[in-house]
This record gives sequence, structure tokens and C-alpha cells, in this order.
Amino acid sequence: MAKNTYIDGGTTTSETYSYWRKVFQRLRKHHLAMIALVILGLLILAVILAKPLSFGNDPYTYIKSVPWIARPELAPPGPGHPLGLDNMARDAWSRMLYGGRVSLSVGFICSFVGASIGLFFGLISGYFGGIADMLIMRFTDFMLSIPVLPIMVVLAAVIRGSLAAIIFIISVFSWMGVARLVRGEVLSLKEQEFTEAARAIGESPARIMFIHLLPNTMAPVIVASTLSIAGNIIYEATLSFLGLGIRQPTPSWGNMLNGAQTFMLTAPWLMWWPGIAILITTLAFNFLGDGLRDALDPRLYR
Amino acid sequence: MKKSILEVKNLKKYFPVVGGVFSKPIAWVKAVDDVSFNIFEGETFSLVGESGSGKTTTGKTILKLIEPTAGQIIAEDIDITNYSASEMRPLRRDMQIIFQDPYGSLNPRLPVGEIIREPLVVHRVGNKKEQEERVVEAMQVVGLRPEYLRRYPHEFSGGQRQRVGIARAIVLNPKFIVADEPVSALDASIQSQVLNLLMDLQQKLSLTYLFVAHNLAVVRHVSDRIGVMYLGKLMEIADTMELFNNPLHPYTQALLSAIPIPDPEIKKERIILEGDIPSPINPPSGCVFRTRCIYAQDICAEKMPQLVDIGSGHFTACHFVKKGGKTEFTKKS
Repeated sequence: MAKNTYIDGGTTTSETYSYWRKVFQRLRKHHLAMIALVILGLLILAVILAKPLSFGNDPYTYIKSVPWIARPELAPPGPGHPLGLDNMARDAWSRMLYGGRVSLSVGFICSFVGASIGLFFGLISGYFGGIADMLIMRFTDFMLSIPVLPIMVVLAAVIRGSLAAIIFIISVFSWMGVARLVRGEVLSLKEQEFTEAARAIGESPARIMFIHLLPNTMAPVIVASTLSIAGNIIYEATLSFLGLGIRQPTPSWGNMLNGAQTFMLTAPWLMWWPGIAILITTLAFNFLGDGLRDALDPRLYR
Repeated sequence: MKKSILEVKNLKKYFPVVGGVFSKPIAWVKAVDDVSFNIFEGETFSLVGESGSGKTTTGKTILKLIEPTAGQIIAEDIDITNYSASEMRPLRRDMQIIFQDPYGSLNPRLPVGEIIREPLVVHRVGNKKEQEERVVEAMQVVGLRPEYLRRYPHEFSGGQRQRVGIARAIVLNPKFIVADEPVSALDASIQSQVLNLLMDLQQKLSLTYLFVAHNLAVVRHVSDRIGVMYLGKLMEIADTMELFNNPLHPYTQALLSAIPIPDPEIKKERIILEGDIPSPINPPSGCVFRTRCIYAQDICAEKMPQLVDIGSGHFTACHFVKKGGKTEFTKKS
């Protein structure tokens, strides 16, 4: 070792630099995003710990009686049932928690599936160009030109109500943004010399796409996916509200709203909480997405 | 007779200029137009010329990073002109490239250790441990601390990044390397370090270089033979000493007269080229250099001079340079 002479190179300290650590440092300066992150963390923790947090209640059990009111159906909040009971005398708090599981997982999974489809199409379209690019991009335009909600309603009516079906329906309509984004990134990345260097080494197109291009497109994809989680939660809530999404007795925030609308005047608290939950969650995802955009691409606003 | 490691015959690369409603090619940029040369084992062959003279395109076409339009590329007796990407893959072990831009040529999301290891992974050389040993070795050879292998490209200076690029090129132990203006993006003080490194490596690893450059001082320092390009064509090929002492083509003479001499006492006659390099879309008829040549005659517009051997491996493409190096220049009136 001693015989080797090296050119000078101490630009940073011995601490190994990590890209994601740097991103997190920048994210920490974005107060709204940090608040959003804390709220989302608490929400996720709450839905994971739905069972212990339910005060021994079960979202599917019909409560026979409560001490503070004659009929258990639509009972107002009271001890042991902080949000009261719904029209079928089930504990609204535990349904909120379990419903959050459904709503959040639909949001996450659909965004993940959508981003994966979008990445796949975007990479192929951008890298190969030509006919493949033309076909994929025209198909993307076609999908974007469809009025999403009516088609979702029709599809949801046809493939009735399981969780998997809802995830499928929402995912099918949430990849186009990512596909366009990734294609644009790839078009610029493939002109850079490191792509040419990879070809000079003899790398296959698949390896170039996944090792060299994909990691360099991740920043905008993460931002777009975070923002799309909020949109997907709203889609799920909308479908469920229309009675075409997650079906009873499985709770989701959307179908709790649907169940509560009939009793808007007699038991308004039943619709406040799922509504507020959806509002807070989507707002938090939007703020987090904005924060991530700034943190991942510091060139943008500085 | 020295062994030819690479032979290029009548290489042409035309890029389409598309236009109109249907994106049809409406014209062609003749980036490389009928270029032929040999590179011998163990030598450094340099291509020099102005920006846009086609030297980089020639280098990249030889490695099939750009598909040639016509001509032949023969690497160690194998005609690789029409090889597909998968047929090229095994040959790429022996043919590597060092890029001009040390910023664009390294993937910003891979640690340099991984960047250097990529060629080994692609060509399935050894297991992971052996690969890592070779990466460390390559980093030491190019003068980078192996401790830095987990760092990312942006943590390095331009010269260090270029060393990473060199390490990536040599890690497979290639025979032939295209060095595409490897120092033109670096500071003057770093240039000589990197040039010396390249020359050391040539000794140690018995490499053959195709060196693409526009800086004549650099070229003189590293090359055994030099090819001068202008507008996609080779104007003159000669041994380095011969070219600098006895330039025969008017373009080479003009180029060499432009080298500054660091002595204010010496006055030398400069040949100032008039005008700009013509467009490669619509090159002049006959000799492409005639529009700027002080000796141009009528014949230059009519006939394209061929690159001919005028003795002892000195090739020139000019109507007025005869066998044995006699020149019959007469100045335009």
C-alpha cells in the first residue's frame, strides 16, 4: 500500500456520503412536509395497531346495548365508544381504524402498481424510441383522454367490489403521468455519455435501463407517486361513496361516508370523522409530495 | 512488419437531417466521409482536426457505438462492420473507450466502485470478491485511493473522475482503447498528469490507443502516428516527427503554423486560414479544403485528391504533393 501514490482527493470527510441522507436533511427544512410526515406516521401506526387501539371493540360486531341511550343504533359518542355507533350499531372508532387500513393500502398499492406500470412503459418508450415509443405514447394519450370517473364507475359496477378489483381499477388509470415523466427523463438520460459508456462495456438494453436509467428517474417518480397516493385515496372514497367500491361489511372511509349520508341530520358525527380523515390524509400526502420535490431536486427552487 | 490491430477501410458515417411533415431525411451530414487507416499493435494513433471534422464520430463508429453508413472496420482480422450488439459483446472486452466529459460519462447514482466493477459484472469475470479485488487494483493503478470506492462521482474533482473513467476502461485488460479527447475538459495542470497516466498504462498493459484530440501539443506528446482530419476526410497521415518536421498538406501546414512559440524573439510566418469550416451538409466539390487553401487551383474544385503514400508511411491527400514529398505549390493570384 505504501508504495502507491495517489492524487490528492480529500474533498469530503471520511463519512460516507449517502444520497438519501442528504435528501432527508433537505426535507427536514421543509416544515409542512415534516408535519405531514409525522401525521402520516401516526396514521399508519394507528391503522397497523387498529386492534389494540379499538378499546376491545370489533368493527363487525353489532353492539346489543349502550348504557347512555335507549337504542344502540346511531348512538352518540360515549364511554368505550369515542365516535359513537353507526346505523347498524357497530363501533365507529374501530371502523375508522380498520377502514383506514383499507383506504391507505388502496392508496399505496395503487400508486405502487401505477408507478411500476408507468416506469415500465416510460423506460421502453424512451429508450427504444421509434415505433414502440409511438405506440406507447399514443396509448398513453388515449388513456389520458378518457373521462376517468364514469369509466371507473362502469368498471366497478361490472367487476363488483372486492378489494383486489378496486385496486386493479384504480391502478389501470394511474400510470400515465409516470409513464410520460419517465419517458421524458429517459430521453435526456440516454443522450448522456454514461449511457454510451454502458453500451461500450457491452451492457444489454435491459441492464442499461434498470441499472443506469431507472435510478436516475426515481426522484420525479417518487414525487409523482406520493402525490398520486392522495388522488387514489380520493378515487377509492368516491367509488365507495357511490356504493361501487369497498362493500359492506368491510369498512373503508369512503363507504363509511356513504353509510353516514342518510343520517346526516340525525347523527352528523358519523360523517365528520371519515371526512376529516380523508381530508387530512390527502393534504398530508400533498404536502409531503411538495416537500419531496424540493428535497429531491434542489435546483428547482433555489 | 508491425501487426495491424485495427483496420478501417473507406469508413463513412452520414447523419440524416430530417425535416418536413413526414420526418424524411432531406439532407445528410457527412460526418465521416471515406476514411481509411490502420492502427498497429502497441502504438498511439492520433486523430486531430477542428471541431466538427469527424474525429470523435470516427472513434465511436470504430467501437460500433455509432453504426457506420458504409465501409469496413476490421479488428484483428475480424470484420465487425455488421456485427450486432450481441455479437459485439464478447469483443468489447478488448476494445474500450475513455470519454471526453468526466462529468457526463459517470452514472451519478452509482458509487465509483460499482462503476468500475460494471464491466466485470457484464462480462462475468470472477466472483464478487475477485471483482472487488480487481476494482481496488484498477483504482490503485490509476492513482485513486481504494478507500473512495463507496463514494459517488460528484464527490470527485474533474481529474479524479477522469481517472475513474480510465479505471473502468482498463479493468477488463483491453488491448485497444479509444481515448476521445480525454484531457480537453480538464485543467491544464491536470492534463499532463492524466496524459502521463495514459502513457504509463500503455507501457504497463501494452495498450494500443486511438487518441482523438484537437490540441497539437498534447498530440505531439503522446502519439506515434497522427492522422489529420478536415470535414470528415483524412488529409494527411504520418509519423509524429515526420508530420511536425515535414508537413506536406497545406491544411497541416496551416495547423502547425498556428502553434504558439513561447519566445517573443522568434517571428514566424503564420498561415492564416480564411473563413470558416464549410458545412458538412454541403461540402465543397473536389477537395473539401480548397475553399480555404492558399494554393487552390482549378483542378481542386474538379477532382477529390486521393490519400496516397508518398513514401515511408507518409500519406497525403493533395494534388500538388508528389511522390517522394516534392511539392508543387503555386499561390493563388
